[in-house]
Amino acid sequence: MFKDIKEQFPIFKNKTNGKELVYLDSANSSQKPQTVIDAVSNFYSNEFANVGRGIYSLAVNASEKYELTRSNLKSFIGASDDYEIVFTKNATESLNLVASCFAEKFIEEGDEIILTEVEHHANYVPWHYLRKRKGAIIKFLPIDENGDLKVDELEKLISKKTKIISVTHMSNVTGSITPLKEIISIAKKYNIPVSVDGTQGAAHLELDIKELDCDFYSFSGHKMYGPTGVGLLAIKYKWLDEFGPFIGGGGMIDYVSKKDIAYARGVWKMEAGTMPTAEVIALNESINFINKLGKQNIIKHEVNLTRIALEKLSKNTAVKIVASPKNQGGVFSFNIDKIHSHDVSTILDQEGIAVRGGHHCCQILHEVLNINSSVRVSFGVYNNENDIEALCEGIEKCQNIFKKK
Amino acid sequence: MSVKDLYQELILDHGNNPRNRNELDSFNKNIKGFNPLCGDKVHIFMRINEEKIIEDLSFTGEGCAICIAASSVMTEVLKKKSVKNTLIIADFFNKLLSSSNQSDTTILNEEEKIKLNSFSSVAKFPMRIKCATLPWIAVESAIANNATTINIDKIK
Repeated sequence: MFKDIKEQFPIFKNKTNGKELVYLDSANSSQKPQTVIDAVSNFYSNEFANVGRGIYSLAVNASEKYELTRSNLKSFIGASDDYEIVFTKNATESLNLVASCFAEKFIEEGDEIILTEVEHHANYVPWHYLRKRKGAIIKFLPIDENGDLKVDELEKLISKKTKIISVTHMSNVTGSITPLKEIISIAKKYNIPVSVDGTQGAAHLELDIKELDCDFYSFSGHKMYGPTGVGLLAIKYKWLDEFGPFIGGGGMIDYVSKKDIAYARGVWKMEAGTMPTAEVIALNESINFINKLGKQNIIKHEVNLTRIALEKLSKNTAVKIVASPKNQGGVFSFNIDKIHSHDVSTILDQEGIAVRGGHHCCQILHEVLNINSSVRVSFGVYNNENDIEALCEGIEKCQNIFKKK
Repeated sequence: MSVKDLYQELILDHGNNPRNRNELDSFNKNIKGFNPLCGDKVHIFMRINEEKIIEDLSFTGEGCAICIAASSVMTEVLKKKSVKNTLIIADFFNKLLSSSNQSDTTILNEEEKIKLNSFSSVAKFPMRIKCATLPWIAVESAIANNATTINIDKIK
């Protein structure tokens, strides 16, 4: 669909282990188009100044560009003025912020937090900390035999003690897309705020958070063809002042004296110190990149690649797909009979194919699926059918190497 | 360096048909080794007699072919070796995989050396070195420090 798109990504000009790069790890992090790389370089070369402080022209221009990304991001996720966006380090930090600066304030001993069995460690460990600190309880919404969440069991998990629900937009292992609308409408009935880990959603799924009506949406720039070091947290406006300050320092205060401090209002309270300015500004180019291709086209492209790959792999009886969700994005995981995922990754790597082997930061899900590890394939806009062909050949190579004995 | 050098006959053989993969009926030293990065797990059992000789050893665990093969070969090589020589052999093996050092020892016979040398190409795959050294470092830690668990990610 996206003809010649690899040409926009300089990384594909290089060989890896002497082979063309077949990059099948976009769920981990995506590659960067030239426009994003140039934006970082251009900012440092021609426009650099710190934001939010100086009143000279360079600083004013930098501040404006920084804020432009914020407002473009709002339209990108369909947030309008009902939400505010905080820049963080990554989605992990965003989720920690929700747990530590928001939930921390009202969760007490015996209160309940609902997560799901498919969560990435980033959406479990911060809640585990909170559980330890407060004596709270974590409940897990289970998955069915396809790997899809059993949303019809959510109401059974909810009690008067349920204080927050935090779920992923899409499993980074099985590609199962969470029925967020259903979950959020159930949560609304009980007035429970919903936090969404949008790490896998932002660049790959339809996104209109105003329509979804979630309370928080966390995501990472580096997974949406943007730079590392910048994460985002969309906060429903009504909760903004409920957030306590995050790390303390310059830029997050209104007034400081020897006796007391008044914190800045709004998002500034959570953006202490110099932020990853070049990265935030370059992120604007990744939004432009995605918008130019069109979200609908991207979804179609990636879902189609998943369908083709699964169809091809179904002909290989040694390949076991770990789950077959009904509503699946551009991600799936598999194992080859009697070959460990790390051996598969190493052999595929020698063919220039980048996949991830292991538990993909989802040990709970692997335990539920009763497997030790898996090989994950995840697509981005630059993948095409040749990549799937290479994957199938690579898998056969693994089988051949291990066939000897 | 081709991937075929990594997955040599001996490694595939021991990876697919590991020797001594069971829990000993009687043992007086055991240690669990764990690599949180990849999830490899080995549990090693040793019966050491009064003369400080490893009378018998075995392992259980889950992991990639390299890890399982390294554990299997290790149980074969270390059987009937003294505790003192075990530490020397473990050092020999670790140096073999560090690629910086040519390693040699007079304790091992030719067959044993060939077996251990099959793992030397792992040194060319930095992400996989700990797969091979996990069981050896576990045994070293059990003998030298009386450890009962190790997390190899925390060991340089």
